[in-house]
Amino acid sequence: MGFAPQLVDINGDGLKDIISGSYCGDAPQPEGHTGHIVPVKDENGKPVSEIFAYYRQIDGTYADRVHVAISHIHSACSPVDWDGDGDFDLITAARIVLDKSSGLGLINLMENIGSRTEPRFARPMNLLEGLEIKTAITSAEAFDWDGDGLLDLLAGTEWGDILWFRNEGTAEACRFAEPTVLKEGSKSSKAEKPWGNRLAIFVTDWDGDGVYDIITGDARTEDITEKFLKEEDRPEYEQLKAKVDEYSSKVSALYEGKNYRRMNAKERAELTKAAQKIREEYRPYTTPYYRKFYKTRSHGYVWIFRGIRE
Amino acid sequence: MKRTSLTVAALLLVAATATAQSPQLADPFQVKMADGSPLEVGEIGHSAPVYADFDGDEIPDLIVGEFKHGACRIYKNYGTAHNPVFKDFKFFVAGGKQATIPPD
Repeated sequence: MGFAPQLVDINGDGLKDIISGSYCGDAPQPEGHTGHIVPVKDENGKPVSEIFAYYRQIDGTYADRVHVAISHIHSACSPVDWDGDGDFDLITAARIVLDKSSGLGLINLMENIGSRTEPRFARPMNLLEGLEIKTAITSAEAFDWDGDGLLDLLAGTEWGDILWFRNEGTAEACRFAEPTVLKEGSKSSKAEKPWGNRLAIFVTDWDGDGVYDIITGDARTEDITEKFLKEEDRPEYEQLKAKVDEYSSKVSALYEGKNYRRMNAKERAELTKAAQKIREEYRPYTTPYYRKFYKTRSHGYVWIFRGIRE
Repeated sequence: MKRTSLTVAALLLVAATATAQSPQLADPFQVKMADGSPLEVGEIGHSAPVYADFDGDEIPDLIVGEFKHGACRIYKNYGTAHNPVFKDFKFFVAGGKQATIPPD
């Protein structure tokens, strides 16, 4: 996400502020702000957390951004009183984790160790410790999805899944189960499902039927090549397209089941070399295909996944 | 552990009677503008929606972040909480200018 807003009175002054995750891993230090900083730094002033941004509302208008750094890319955050102490903690998700040992995406808790009116956040704690997350998580929210009185975690993913991590612990000690897939996404860029990738989720009762629903935003790049294809070019297009598909299948097969970020340098080099070899082999087909025919359109829609009881 | 955010306060306003006992999810439908066109944030996508009362009229609005220029759109709800109507949007303004969280 670029801007991934949440509307919340983060500092308890009775006015709703906007906080947001961010995309880049190189956020500027706070500058020129008129609100106060939500510190996401350790005792030495070193950034310890995902980026998030903070717009403080003052008398009906919003102050300029306070942008606080850093360690993961493509982050999202949502506020919740996780520990029931009356202030807001943050649940954060990150699609790309710079710490290679953390696996593919994660969901963190950042406990508010300040107060309702002066929030300060502790170092992020991985709530999914012990689980092997096989997909990149692009958003997360704490919510009691099964109504058992414990906060579960709901998450959107890179490939358009909606996951539910049931809290099987206690009010004092959470423990999350392997995720249940509430909705399966496309699993590839071939757009098998109408909704797209990189879901940003928000739980609400959209239709007022008493069952919670999930609103999502997405990202999708649509292949619109066919819409612009001239009939006289179709034979050439189909010949090239067959080769491009063959190329894609070979590359996919090469990376299937491999976690690039967990490989050692030698394994990475071998994989890269093998991919380059395939790329060179198919370049006579891929280059003209992409230059002459390939056209795309990117968009981001908003979808309502209605909650239903079976 | 209770969810007590003000975002949730707005949510509870929307659905005071809602309970959640592990519902399943139906296939989705797309949020549309009043003219029938899809509500979309345009090029590059990465829409990030929140349904909450932004303008203080006690009806939730749709607040949607986007990737391009890191902007955020406020779609005022001209309908009701459960029958929303979106006709237009304004970019979120902070510090007297369009607020952005640049993606680069």
